[in-house]
Amino acid sequence: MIDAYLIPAVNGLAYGLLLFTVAAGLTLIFGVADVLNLAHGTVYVAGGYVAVSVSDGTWAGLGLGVLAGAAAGLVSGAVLWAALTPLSGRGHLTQALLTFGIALAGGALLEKAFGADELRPVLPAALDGSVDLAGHRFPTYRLLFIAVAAVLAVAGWLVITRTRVGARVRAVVDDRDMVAALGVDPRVVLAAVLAVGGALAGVAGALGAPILGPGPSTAPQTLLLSLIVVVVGGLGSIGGAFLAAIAVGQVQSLGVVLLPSVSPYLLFAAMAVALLVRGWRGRGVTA
Amino acid sequence: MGKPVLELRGTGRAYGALKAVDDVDLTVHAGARHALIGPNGAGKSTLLHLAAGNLRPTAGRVLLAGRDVTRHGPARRARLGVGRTFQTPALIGSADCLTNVALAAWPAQTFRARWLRRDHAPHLARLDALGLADDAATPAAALSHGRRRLLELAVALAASPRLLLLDEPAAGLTDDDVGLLLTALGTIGAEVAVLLVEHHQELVRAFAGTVTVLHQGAVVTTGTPAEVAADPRVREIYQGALGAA
Amino acid sequence: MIPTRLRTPLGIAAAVVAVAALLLLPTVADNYTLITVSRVAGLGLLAASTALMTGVAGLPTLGQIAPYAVGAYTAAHLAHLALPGLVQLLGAAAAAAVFSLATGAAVVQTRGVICLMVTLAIGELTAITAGQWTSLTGGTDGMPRVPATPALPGGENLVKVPDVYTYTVVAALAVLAVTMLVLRSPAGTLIRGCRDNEARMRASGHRVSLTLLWTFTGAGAIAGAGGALLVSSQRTVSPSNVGFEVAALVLLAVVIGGAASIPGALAGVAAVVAVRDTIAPKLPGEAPLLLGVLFIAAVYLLPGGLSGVAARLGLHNGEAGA
Repeated sequence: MIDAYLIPAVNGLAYGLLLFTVAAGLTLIFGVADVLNLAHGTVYVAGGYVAVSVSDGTWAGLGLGVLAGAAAGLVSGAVLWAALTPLSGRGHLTQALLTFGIALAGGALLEKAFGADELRPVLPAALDGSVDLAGHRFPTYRLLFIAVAAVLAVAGWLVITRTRVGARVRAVVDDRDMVAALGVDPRVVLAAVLAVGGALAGVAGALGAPILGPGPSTAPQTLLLSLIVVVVGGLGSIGGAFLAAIAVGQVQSLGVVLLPSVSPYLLFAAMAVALLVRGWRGRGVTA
Repeated sequence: MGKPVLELRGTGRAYGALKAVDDVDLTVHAGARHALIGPNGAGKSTLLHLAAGNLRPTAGRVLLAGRDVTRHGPARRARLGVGRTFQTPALIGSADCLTNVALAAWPAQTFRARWLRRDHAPHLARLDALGLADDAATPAAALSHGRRRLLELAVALAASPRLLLLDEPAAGLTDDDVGLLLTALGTIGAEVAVLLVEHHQELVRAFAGTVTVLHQGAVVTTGTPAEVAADPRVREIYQGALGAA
Repeated sequence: MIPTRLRTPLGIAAAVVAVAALLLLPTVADNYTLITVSRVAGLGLLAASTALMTGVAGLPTLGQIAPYAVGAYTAAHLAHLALPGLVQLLGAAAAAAVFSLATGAAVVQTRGVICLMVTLAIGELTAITAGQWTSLTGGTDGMPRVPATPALPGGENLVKVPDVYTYTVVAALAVLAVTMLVLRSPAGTLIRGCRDNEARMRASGHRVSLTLLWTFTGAGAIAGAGGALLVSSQRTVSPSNVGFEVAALVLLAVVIGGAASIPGALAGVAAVVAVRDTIAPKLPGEAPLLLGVLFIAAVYLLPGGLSGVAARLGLHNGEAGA
């Protein structure tokens, strides 16, 4: 019986790791720079589109796609930085509305440039088939993706826990006032996290294109799922985001198999449980 | 001495290894005028938060008129008769003074009084007693700091609490305003026990009948102002605190 | 004497003129105008619901489209049962209220930016569900042929444009009037108190989360009534009526109108729809781009309005303590 759920479970793992790569950037931008970036899903899609357009069925094309995705993410980060900097000190709602507007306009421009269909890249022949996984056919690319994303996640974890930059990031997430204490210009901090977060989303868009391809509905979907990951994982927490992303990936794949019509609300249920548990634990500490 | 209104029993609050309040036993009796003093960082405000329910203790219990309220939040304790003020006056800025008092009285009122027969006379009398009658229609956000303190006192008294917790009521007040505050505190009836955290020595001397000294999160001594002033340990703490400063 | 009932003569005059103009419109306007306005009635309630949560209660929400959707589909089902418009309206409001009560338990645990995230997620998840739960919602096709029904039991079916117009506008005005009355009552003072200073409300013994939950439930009912009016005016409903773009449109309207004011939100809806209907036909297929550009423009060009809103919400950096 477990056998029937193996493929959805592995699919869910791939999906979860993809979500983590996207959501890590979102939670970083929020945790460090205190900005809610509602255009984050659009950055993912931009990375996906450029990767698809340079893909030509060769390994070089695949590699180039990842670089192009990262570049698209960096450019998006720069655009967001230029748009957000004049609004510093204007509050979360203003930032959210601006990035919302950028998401709408950017999505429309991308659709105009790349068409209204969901696109898939041309993969190298060796990755385009499927492999045998405990008696089931499973797409080769997804296995490779799981490996690559796992490497990315471990690398990110090492940076956060073992480096000086990582220590500073954790300090700032714990206590926003640390930004001033570190003596770094907050505009530089914003630029740095938008660049890193954008590049992560762009790379995710490139690597994830064969799984969740760029299309008009991809941006809101990606944004939605990463928001849920960030809320469930705890704002600014990379480790929490990782666990939440894996869980959301499973809900999305196994949940759809088990409870198809209400599977969207399983995600809401996960979010509600996380909030209520935190609400109960946190109650009584509002000074 | 009246019955105990507030009892802290072995109450503590730790932040990791740091014990902001450690194993405190403290009793506030009915009608008491009880001051909590101590050097900066002694844990006075933390203790007040523990009594009001804004913080939950990590050790020990909190009793209100003999009832265990350790796990109750601030709203529930307020409904059991705890009124409080904050270091920075907490008021509804967009509402006028009368509405601020009316809102504070609301939880203790009957359905009829809330919705059908709204009577502002007692609220106006409360404002008048603190010299705020002229400002009844002024938004709280437009008041001076001193008057905001007085309004918060009116708000904290609006639901007729049996225990009033005041967190540094004289902080940021001019000498004239402290005089007004002292007069206002004098109008509080004997049915209300008052526990106040205060640095202002003259205010403590003029108002408090009982003084508890807190140092490094623990109670050093409790007694009349004269007893406490004569206590060599208290002198040592304050000299030490001055020496360190 | 009663401070919660402060009203300006100018405001009353403007409201009277606006209501009179709406009620007299069928005598002068053509059917196209009447259809447009009656379709805006539902959006107006959605905007009022958003303004109530965002501005009055201080919980910035991007997801009132969710109870709006619940109301719309509920009303469509009730219409298929040949129940009159009033029953559809009340049924939709009740279903949306129940929905909001259930989701609100989690929402009222949040403040500020987390509330934005959570409500956005609820709105999106509901739109997705509307597209997937085919047995209930008709899936991506929606419910294309909702039968005409009378407004009140025993009345004539609402088929003629002026009749549809009058029903939707009068119903929307009635819902708004009830909302404004509630907000002028002590209930409104309680809600604004929770927005202004939560610590004070709790210290005075108020159950803040419960107050916010009831507010969220009421706001959901208003949005649900809006959904019912949408169905009454266009007699179809599909996921595109309750999706991302409608939510964005209404949010923009609320922002332009100044989030704390329900009349402002209604004026904002009128302005945004007017701009959309004037410019969009000249630029076919560019509606999302236009909407995005309008958003960006609103953020930069209305700094006073927006920061005024943000200040009221305590969303400014450094003063989020309340």
